Amino acid sequence: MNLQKNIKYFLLILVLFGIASPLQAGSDEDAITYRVRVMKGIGSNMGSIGDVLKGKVDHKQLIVHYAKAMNEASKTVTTIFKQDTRTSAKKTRSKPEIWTKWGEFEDAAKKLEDESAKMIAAAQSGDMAKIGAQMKALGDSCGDCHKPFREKKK
Amino acid sequence: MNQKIFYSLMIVGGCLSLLWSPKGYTAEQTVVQKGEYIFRATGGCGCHTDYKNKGEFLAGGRAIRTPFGIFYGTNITPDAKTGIGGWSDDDFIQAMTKGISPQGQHYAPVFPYTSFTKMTKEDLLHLKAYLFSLPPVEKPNKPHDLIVPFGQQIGFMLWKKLHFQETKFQPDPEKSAEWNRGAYLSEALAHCGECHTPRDWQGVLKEKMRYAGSKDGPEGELAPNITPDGETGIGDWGTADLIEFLKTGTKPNYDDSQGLMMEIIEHGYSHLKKEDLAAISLYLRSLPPVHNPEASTKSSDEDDEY
Repeated sequence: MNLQKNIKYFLLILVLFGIASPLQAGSDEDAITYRVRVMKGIGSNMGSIGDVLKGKVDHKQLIVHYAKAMNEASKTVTTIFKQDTRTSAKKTRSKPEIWTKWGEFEDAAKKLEDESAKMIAAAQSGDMAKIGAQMKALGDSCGDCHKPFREKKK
Repeated sequence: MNQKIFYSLMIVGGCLSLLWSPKGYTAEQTVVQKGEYIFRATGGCGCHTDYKNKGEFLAGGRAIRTPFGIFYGTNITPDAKTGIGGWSDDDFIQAMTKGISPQGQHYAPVFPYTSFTKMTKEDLLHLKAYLFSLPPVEKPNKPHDLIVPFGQQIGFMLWKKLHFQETKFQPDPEKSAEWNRGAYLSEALAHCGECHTPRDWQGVLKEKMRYAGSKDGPEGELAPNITPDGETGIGDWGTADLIEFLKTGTKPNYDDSQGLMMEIIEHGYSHLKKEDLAAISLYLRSLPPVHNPEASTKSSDEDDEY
């Protein structure tokens, strides 16, 4: 009798977990890995523009594409950081302030969206001086978010 | 805020002098302007401004954490009582090149007179003229908080006897003028090696590891390897990369620089002429590459970035 009851509970727990797990978000570890991936992608597009400006390659006409890619990715930043990973054991330089000052974090992410949109416009104008100046503003928008929300390199 | 007003005034002043000076602004720089350029080339003397606590410009009080204890940056505004306002030209030169105060006290080598000793007299006097053109701030210096036995006058004196030699910059006649300019800027003014070279237990720079980076940089930060080693240094950085970095703090992987380096770029190196940044770049890229995984520039390429 008792054993039967225990089995019932056991089954109930199994069923509950079975239903609940697909509804649960992924692990914190995966969330961290994922956001590193996306953020590095943004940095990589930044580099694709920068190497042209440094004169390493002659792909001026491609700048607009990387600016668009950055702009699209910038719209996903707040979503990929939504999962609060403060209790995760995985090493991350993301500061707790992201989640304690979420509004400010959103504003900082929005700035990247705005500045990358301006980069699209600058690139479309074809004016290299304009693109260069906008690169500075775009870079500043990275730093303005990294400073308050990312731990210094140790 | 004060600083902002000050800079605005400088800009307005600069524009006015452009109108008044018959030869124009660039043709005839004033001694103060030349001094400001030297100031920028040293990295902006940030140890003397307590940025974190919104301290007045160059009025000291900034805590500098080192393995030997906490040093507090001193007041170098021209305030006669608490700053350097009472210093003569000779006092200033003695402090910068010999590490001795006007009262005959020996400075700890956290003050990089070990590099500034290589500065030309002309540059030193221009720098002094710039510092003396700034608003004086009355703010007494805070005593250092050092681990015994490091905080002793006799200790600093002994240290200097053993490890410090007053010297002038010696150009290398075999190298180009640009290389020599880069060497002078890096060694005498920008004092790159003071943070980017590891120190032994006595705080002496390890000569074999020159510019190879230190994991115990100031304020506990990593000062990465800036020799042209391919794997752990800046071997894969081109001239354009280095110029861009010193101008904006953006690394070749398009991550931004953080911490102290960003501050030094913002207040110092970003104000330098492109030719000078190119000269520094040429010099750094000519250094013997040193492999130093302990202070690798690639340490940030881990997966903990965000």
